[in-house]
Amino acid sequence: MSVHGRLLQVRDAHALAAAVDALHALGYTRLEAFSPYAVEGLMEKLGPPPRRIPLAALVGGCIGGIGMLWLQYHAAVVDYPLNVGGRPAASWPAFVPSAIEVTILLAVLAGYVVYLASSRLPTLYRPEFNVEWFGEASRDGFLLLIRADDPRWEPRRAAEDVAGLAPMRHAEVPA
Amino acid sequence: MKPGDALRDALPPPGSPTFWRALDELAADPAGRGLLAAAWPSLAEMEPALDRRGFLRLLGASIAFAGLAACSGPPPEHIVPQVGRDGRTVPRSARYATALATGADVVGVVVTLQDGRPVKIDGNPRHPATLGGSDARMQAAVLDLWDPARSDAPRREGTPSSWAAFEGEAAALRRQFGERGEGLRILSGDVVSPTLARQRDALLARYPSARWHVHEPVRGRPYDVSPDLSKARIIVALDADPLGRLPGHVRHARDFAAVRRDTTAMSRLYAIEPSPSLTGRNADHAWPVAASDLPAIAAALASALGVHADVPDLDVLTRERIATIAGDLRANAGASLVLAGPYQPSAVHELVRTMNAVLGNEGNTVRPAPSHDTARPLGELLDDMRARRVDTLVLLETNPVYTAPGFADAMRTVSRTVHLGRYRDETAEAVQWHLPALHPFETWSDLRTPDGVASIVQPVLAPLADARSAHDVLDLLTGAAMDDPRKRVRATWPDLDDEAWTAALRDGVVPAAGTSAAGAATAARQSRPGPSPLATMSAPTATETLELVFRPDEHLWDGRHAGNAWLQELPRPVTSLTWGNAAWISPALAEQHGLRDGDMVRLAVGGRHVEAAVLVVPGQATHSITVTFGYGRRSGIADGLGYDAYALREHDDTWHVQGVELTALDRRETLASTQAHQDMGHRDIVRAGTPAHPPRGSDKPPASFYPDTPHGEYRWGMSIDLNACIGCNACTVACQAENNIPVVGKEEVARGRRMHWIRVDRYHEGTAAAPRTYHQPVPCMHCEHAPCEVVCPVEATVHDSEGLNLQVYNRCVGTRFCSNNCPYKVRRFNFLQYADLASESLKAMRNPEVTVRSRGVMEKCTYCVQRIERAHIDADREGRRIGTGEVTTACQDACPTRAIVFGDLDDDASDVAVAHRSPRRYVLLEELNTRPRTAYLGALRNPNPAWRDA
Amino acid sequence: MSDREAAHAGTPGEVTDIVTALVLSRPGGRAWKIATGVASLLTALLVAAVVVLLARGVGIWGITMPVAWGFAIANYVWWIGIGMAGTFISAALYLTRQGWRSALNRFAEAMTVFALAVSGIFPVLHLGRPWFAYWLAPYPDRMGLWPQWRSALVWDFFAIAAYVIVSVIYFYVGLVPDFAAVRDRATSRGRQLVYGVLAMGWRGEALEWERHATLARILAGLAVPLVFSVHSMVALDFSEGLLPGWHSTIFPPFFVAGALFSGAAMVILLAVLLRRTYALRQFITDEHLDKLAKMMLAVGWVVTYGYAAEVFTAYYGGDPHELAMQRNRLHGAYAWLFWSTIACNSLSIQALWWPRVRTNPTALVVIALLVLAGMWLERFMLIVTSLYRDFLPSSWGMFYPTFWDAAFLAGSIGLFALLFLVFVRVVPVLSIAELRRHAAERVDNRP
Repeated sequence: MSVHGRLLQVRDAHALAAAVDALHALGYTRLEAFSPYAVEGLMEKLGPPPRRIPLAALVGGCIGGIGMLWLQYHAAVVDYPLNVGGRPAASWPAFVPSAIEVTILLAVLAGYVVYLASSRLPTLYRPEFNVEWFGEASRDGFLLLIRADDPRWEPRRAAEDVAGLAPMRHAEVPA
Repeated sequence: MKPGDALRDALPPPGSPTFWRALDELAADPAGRGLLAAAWPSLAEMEPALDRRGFLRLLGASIAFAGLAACSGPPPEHIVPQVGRDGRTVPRSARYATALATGADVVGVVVTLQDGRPVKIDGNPRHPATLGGSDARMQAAVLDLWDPARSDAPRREGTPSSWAAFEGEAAALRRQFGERGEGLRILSGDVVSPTLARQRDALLARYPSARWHVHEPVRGRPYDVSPDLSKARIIVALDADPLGRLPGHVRHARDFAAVRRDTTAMSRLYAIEPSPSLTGRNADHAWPVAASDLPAIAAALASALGVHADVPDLDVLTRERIATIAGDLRANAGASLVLAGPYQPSAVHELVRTMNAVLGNEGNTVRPAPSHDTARPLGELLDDMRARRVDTLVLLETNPVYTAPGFADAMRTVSRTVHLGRYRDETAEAVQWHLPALHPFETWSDLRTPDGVASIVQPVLAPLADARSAHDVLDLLTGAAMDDPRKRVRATWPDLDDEAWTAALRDGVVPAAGTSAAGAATAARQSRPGPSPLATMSAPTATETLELVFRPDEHLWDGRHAGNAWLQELPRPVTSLTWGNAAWISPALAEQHGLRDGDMVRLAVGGRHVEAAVLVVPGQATHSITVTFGYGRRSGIADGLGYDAYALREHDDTWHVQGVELTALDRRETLASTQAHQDMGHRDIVRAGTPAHPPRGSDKPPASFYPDTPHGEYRWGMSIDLNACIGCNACTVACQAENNIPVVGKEEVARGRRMHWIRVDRYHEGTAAAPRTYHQPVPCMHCEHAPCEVVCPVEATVHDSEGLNLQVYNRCVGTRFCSNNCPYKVRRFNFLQYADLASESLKAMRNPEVTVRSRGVMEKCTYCVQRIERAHIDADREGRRIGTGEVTTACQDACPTRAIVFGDLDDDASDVAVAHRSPRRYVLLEELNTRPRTAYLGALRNPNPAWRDA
Repeated sequence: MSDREAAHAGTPGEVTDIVTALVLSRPGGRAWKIATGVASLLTALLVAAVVVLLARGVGIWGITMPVAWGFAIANYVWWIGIGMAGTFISAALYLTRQGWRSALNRFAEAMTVFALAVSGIFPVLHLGRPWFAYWLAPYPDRMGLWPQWRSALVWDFFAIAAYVIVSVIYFYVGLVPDFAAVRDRATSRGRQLVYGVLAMGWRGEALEWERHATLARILAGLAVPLVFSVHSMVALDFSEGLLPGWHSTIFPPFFVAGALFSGAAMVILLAVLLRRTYALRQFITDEHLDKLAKMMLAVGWVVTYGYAAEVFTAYYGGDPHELAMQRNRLHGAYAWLFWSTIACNSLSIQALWWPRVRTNPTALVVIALLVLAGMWLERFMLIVTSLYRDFLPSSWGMFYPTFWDAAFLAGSIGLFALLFLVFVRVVPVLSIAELRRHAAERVDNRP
């Protein structure tokens, strides 16, 4: 049977950070840390910070704002100009409010979509769930996973290395 | 061969005398039906309904007729169309001249047919009594024609019967009348049809002992003088209402306005009356006076003019005022006019005649009118019935069970009662035989105005009901051969040759030469010497006894129009009440008794009493309470509305009684008034002035941020002359007819949901006791910077290149923001499904060129865009511009005083362009800078500087 | 105000257990059952009213000419205003690092979403032909027609659309970790499935947390300008009109303040009820009430300033129509509306100057209810007093509400209550993730 990796639980956030450092020292690179809340400084150890979400929001917002202004101009001046209350066809001040709303709307949508994509949500099945004490991560448990695709992965050694960290408990995560 | 042609070939040639009948059969028989269906698929869906009575037979007929009108020649020659307004007959639409009467008030009208269906009525420009103007009743007559509530078949003892059965009955009657016709009594309204007069005389000759009685419950004294307001510089109306109620009032209004247009020679009108009439509302000096005091004032005025009359002692103010008026009259001797109303005793009329004689007005501003009144009064009939001298009573288009107290009881003694009427009204329910009457548009007849102008009444469509005319019924009684109804009328006019006859039909007026012949049919005027003036004049009652004044309803008249929903919902000119009547009390009296509008009171006089809601009417004489007839009905749409003023009345010629008791009840009733506030509150709404100080006009419109939008080929605009408008509301109902505007009923009006596209606002100025009143018709202003358009989220109201503020019904989602944002509040919203989409006959009545609006949609005045479009089409077809004055709006056509003009502002020759150059021109709410296309001309009053206010 | 004092719960574990228990194990209790019963009845009334409305038309309401807008618009403005506080508390206070908000933001956001849902009913149903409401949206129409971009109603259409979508996303993003917590505690298969799906497979992995935080910051940053713009648009629905009393530049800020005011009142109401019903004292503390009360007092003064400014500008500007309108508002047939508005919105809150009042739940509930009523009256007053007497006296008229007007108001309250009561039973009413962090920090910093 294939293996997803090995999961261990430590006492608290500090222990978790320490465990990450130790495993890095042993040369492990593909680690995933699970905690009930964001632990400062942990992310830096584990991977690059997310930059795509703000960018996406910015782009989405620009598209929304400019697009909306263009749509209104096109509709009111080019496509179907009508005399409404003797106002000029391109009454731009009146076009601004809708544009503002759409700017914000598209910015949010774009940001959210990219967030989902980059966090690979939704993914309803996660191998970790096979470990019955994984639920501790959403209570007060601090868990660490060595993934099986780690170049240094070798089941028996991984088990020994983990045991060397003296975790509260640890288990193999079937894929 | 196209189905259309097939149908046309199936039809008899136009002009064959049986044309209509043939069409009825055609529409009724299956083969023809197939043809119709093939020719007009729309009719095929109606197939199942085709068996329904009258109107669908007609619809078939009229569609076929339209086919004829469209493809081939003229309509059958025995009814003669009047050529179109501007020398064109519009395809699928024809115009016929005919006439209508309410009592003695005869008006010449032009009926417009669309696809053969009468959809619109206007005054006949060639008829001297209208000159093209309208009044509300005339405009609403088309609804009477199509009214689904019309009685449609003879009924005996309340159960459906047939004309055949009645013909049998009539034969039996004739046998039993024998030579003398003992016990035969006939009751009708004023006999204003020469033919009917001829038949009456024939009948009375045939049955010497028969009696013919006339019952006109609200006419008052027969009309015996005809004033000419076009020549009068000073007019003194003693309880007279030449602008509103007198026969010929449409013409009088025109003349009155015409004189007052010229600010250099403006006339002056004094109105002395117990309760305000339309005339009083337009007077330069309205002088409220108790009806019982009027004779004294007449006497005083007479003696001030040098006529011998004993003058009771009057208070200082009264004497001063009379001196002022007398001075004015003398100064304009020969060009002045004293007019007494029909509700004044003969004594006053005698005085007035002498006054006019003394002033040399006779022949100038007033002419004697031949009275055709030879009838016996109702009183005799009642006595005869009570004395069981009557065994056959024939009631011709009159409703005495409602209008004559005590009639119902008296009638029980009569063994045979026959009633002819358009509705199953109170009388119809009480008689043995009820016979449905034809609408004047469905039959041949003729009518004559009191001052002798006669018109031929020609049918413009096949009868919608299995009904007959009074002429038919009289022939049945006398056993005269039932000949062609046309021949019967023609026989009244022997000296009209075919040419003259055709001309009379086309023009709607019988050439003067023709009148003499029929004139013979009417007896000479009986002068009824009233008691001498000296006898009757009593001093004004200084005491606080309340007097009760009886008046007809301004629209329903004696109640005969109560079945007409348009008139029910049309605000009364003086009170702006709809769907009900109220007891008018003066502000002073209201304060004294702590009453406000809608409070119920009990009015008791001489053992009779009613409970009525009061209405505080500015300008009402302090101690006079006015009750109006026409309500308290026991049938029809007016059932249960208002109170029955007849119940307070002893005789049908009582016009005011002293000593009425007013007791406040602690109940209230909703009065559906369309205007709660009549005080301008120092706002610049109606601009008014005097010839010396004319009202100021608008200067250039305020500056605007918005660039002027280039406008199209035409620049439509309207102008409303507030100096000409007398506030008669004819425009409102004309608009209703033209634009398929629904009625909404009392509750909705009371909520403020009336639908009229043009309303006439009333504003009072000065004291509540004797205010000066201004009328302001308000249609859509068609603002160039329209506030309504900017706030519409769906482009449902936008501007077109010719300056019309369009309302796109099928795009409207009904946010109502446009109405909120309309400073003139001229927009109307279909809060519920108001348009009656069920009644088939109403479908046939509607103007096919105007959309019927559905629930949830905003609507408003369109400047009659359908007429503008038609003019465009005609002009394009003939490759020309739309001519000056070619397009008129419905309100403009109806206006008796020509206050409303419409046209192209870029056409300097057009009336509207001229009006817009007037120094009196101003726009409403100018400060909002909405740039309205509808402009007003300020109002003028011509008060006498010597006049002293109370 | 440091985060520590705000949340007094025990360890992260305890926090998690208490809050998830509300959803998973603890019974609703009698109060909940009764409230839900009443709310359901009112909601049924609303449904009936809607059916009648669609069958007969908006004429069943008291609206007329000239007062063509009535309860429906007042309800709409009132509800959308109430919605504002949720977004404000969770977004604005988040940006300003007000840790104490963590105990409030969850149910405040829920309140926003539900208030929006309720208010959204009215702009559609008040139309003469509601089934064509979509004509306000730009789409390739067969007739080539577009919305009329100059109309404030179109601006408002976009504002509401954006606001609804954003606040739902915002609400859900915050919920995902908590759904995971519930998922992991759930015992029944059904709940595990449902909450598993809702949690989208959240694991609490470090990078997930990081991205989550980034998105939360961006959303907050966008939500704040959004709510301010939305309520400005609502104000423009009126001030674009030329009516005296509507055509006023102070309206946008005035409406924003009014919205926050009524919203704060609603949050206080819900906070007190929640902590009373489910013994959440240790999370929703007196200090929370105190802060909310201060907030309400402050905004109340801004609103009061708005009233004063309206009167002042009318008399200072001296436009006759404005003057007449103000006179009518202060002394006319609807003066009672104006003065009761003042009593509820300007006077009642003055009690909040006293600290003891600010921490007294009963007093707060009373004042909050007064403010909510007062804000509805204010919306109604603004609408009707400008419409019933505008320019031409001939067209002046009164507005008389009908039974159906009342039914829609009561029904909308019922619907809101029902939604919230259901929310309380199926969604963590407090933000578990945030409270866990606070708890943990407290534990860590324990000497």
